[in-house]
Amino acid sequence: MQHWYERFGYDDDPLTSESHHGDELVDAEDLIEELFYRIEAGSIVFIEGEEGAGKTALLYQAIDKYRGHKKVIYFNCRNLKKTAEIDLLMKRRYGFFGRLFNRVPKDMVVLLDNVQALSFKNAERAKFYFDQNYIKSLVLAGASYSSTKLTPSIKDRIGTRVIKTRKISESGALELLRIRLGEEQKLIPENIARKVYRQSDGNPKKFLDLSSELCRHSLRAAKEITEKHYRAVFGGTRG
Amino acid sequence: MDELWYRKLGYYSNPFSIKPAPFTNEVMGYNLKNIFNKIEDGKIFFVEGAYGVGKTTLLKHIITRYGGQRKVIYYSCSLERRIDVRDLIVGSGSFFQRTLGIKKHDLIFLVDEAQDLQLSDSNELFQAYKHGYLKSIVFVGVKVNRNSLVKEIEKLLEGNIINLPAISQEDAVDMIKKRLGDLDFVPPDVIREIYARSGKNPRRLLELCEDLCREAVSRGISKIKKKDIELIPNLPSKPRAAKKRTKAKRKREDVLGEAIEEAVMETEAEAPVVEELHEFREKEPLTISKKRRK
Repeated sequence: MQHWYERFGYDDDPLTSESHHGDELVDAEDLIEELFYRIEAGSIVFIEGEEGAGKTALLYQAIDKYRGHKKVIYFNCRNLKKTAEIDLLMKRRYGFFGRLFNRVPKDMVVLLDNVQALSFKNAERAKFYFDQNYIKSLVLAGASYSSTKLTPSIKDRIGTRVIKTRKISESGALELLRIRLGEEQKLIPENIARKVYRQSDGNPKKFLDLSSELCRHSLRAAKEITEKHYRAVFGGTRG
Repeated sequence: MDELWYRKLGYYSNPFSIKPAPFTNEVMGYNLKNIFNKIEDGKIFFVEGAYGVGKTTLLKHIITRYGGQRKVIYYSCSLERRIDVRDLIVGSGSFFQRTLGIKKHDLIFLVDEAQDLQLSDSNELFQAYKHGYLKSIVFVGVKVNRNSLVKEIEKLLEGNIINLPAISQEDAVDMIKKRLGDLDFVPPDVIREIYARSGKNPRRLLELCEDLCREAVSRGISKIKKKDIELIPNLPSKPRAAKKRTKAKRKREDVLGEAIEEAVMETEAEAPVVEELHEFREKEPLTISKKRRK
């Protein structure tokens, strides 16, 4: 069965909320600048924001900036097995011989996503590597800084270096849609996009998920989304 | 991104980095020689101090001095896991020693976050010390937790607890001056003002100096003045100094004190009236009718 996006010439769903499009973080130039500064200056930073608020997209900005020099390690702590260690992630840079001879690279930029799932041992190890200059900057991202279990010594190093993600504005959401849809911007007319935005609580992930849902249900045969489609998917009272 | 503020001022890297001792001559509040002597003499000692006063800096100095000789084991304690001392001793050896499981002798064991050490771990450490695998043990933590130490270690720690004090105002000025070198961008009176707001914590002091310099450079300020401190985002408020009792105030307080005393005496004289009132209440207890309660 042909997917709606294939009908319009896309290989994948352009409205997927998975953060692999690092270049499309909108309304966040100041946050990006702050993050890049903290990385350059050598700090431990915490990016705080609810699910889908753009934390991973922000981390991808850093990956894009530092990729290609074997200087950046990104890791989603949810995927880090309990037995896995941050040592191995660091030593992997030098391949087999690095691990054999315990060689640890210097001045790495380490980005740890969903840090609430990080084990205590790995957190302490990361702190040690930071103190000893193997890690130049450590960026931790999580839903809440205060409720993330980090040792007092790590929290002391973070100090006031907490970057809080913000809600996306309406114009920002429309801009996001424009970037994602490219030439097919008319698929979701602006008035419909505004209604979808109002349901998203300013959360970019929710906005994209709702837009994708609308397209999936409406664009099987139609060429563009209308009020009728919107009401059929979300009901008359919503938006 | 614009050019970094410290590059504009001619520094290659951030002069206010919070990393322990990026500048080798920066040691505050203790004598490193004494520490090295204690290690050479094979002592067990505990360095205690609040967060940010320089405990990790001290550890870094020890690692720098002995690290290249495969003599140092660093371990950061946590309440959630035990120290595998044997594994760490074997792991500190060369590739062949590790493969053959040969245990090295005369190692220096650094225990960070030692306030979270467990009793069984301290016993294992003592056994390794007793059998000569460990030459010296350096505990570093916020406070000595005597419940987590075996008696033998507790005894050896007598007279071997080093307390790292909070840095003084002039130490703070000295530290920032050393960091900045010849550049007189942050004058001493500004450093003193920032120090007052840092809670005497070197790490906070460095962070506040960094934020101030960043803001000042972005605004094109060539030399920071005291009033510019307000530019620091989320600036902590200055702790309120204890007010001095002036002569006039003391006199006023004495007069007030006398007045209170007199009033108390007067009340005591009227005490029978109060007692009578009590008696009256006991005889006729206060009741609220159901109707009124509704």
